Amino acid sequence: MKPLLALAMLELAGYDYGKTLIDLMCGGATILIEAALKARNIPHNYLRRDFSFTKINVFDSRVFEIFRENFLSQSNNGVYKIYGIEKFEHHREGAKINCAKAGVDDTVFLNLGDALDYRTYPQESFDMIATNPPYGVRMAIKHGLKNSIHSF
Amino acid sequence: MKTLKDRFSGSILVLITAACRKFMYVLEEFGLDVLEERNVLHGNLNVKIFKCKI
Ligand SMILES: C[S@@+](CC[C@H](N)C(=O)[O-])C[C@H]1O[C@@H](n2cnc3c(N)ncnc32)[C@H](O)[C@@H]1O
Repeated sequence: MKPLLALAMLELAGYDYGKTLIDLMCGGATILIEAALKARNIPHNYLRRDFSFTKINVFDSRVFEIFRENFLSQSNNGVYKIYGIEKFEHHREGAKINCAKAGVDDTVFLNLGDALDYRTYPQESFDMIATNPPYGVRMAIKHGLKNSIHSF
Repeated sequence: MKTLKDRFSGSILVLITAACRKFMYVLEEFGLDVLEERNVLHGNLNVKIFKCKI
């Protein structure tokens, strides 16, 4: 899932740092990473350096760095209640790596669990659930994506 | 959906899915309203983001 789409979901939900959030099928944790960045007031895509506009003649890297530093100076390193559940260990491991790369592994809490079994959920109350269930386009024909939506 | 209703009553759910009609049907079955929705082209898939109150 593209990070911008995850951010759009959070914007639509009205997520902010004061809210407790869970993704019940977190996969690579894109939604949770975007939530953590938003909570910490860190600009979306802050690690990216290869923007197309950096190639145009009038681009001034010093001005870019000043703006970048200015935005980052307004960020915080608070710890927020951002949780993820993932059914498969290898996906959870991938999510952990992604969170570490984004610098938010200290505020995104990842549990192994099953979205269909609330006994595996963290003992918290949640203001928001943001999730991107498996599309299963090919599997849908065989096993029924629609049924999985129903059970969820 | 039953799991969600039992565990997260009162929370906001945002969900992105390609199974839009089925999702709407399930929401109706459980008496949940869509607060907002957005169409999105996700790769080659037409999907929707739904915002609902559980
Ligand atoms: C479409 S992916 C989510 C991708 C994620 N939004 C991202 O961009 O990284 C769906 C994930 O749900 C997980 N999953 C499927 N069924 C699950 C269940 N019952 N409980 C928890 N996780 C589940 C899959 O292993 C997969 O990682």
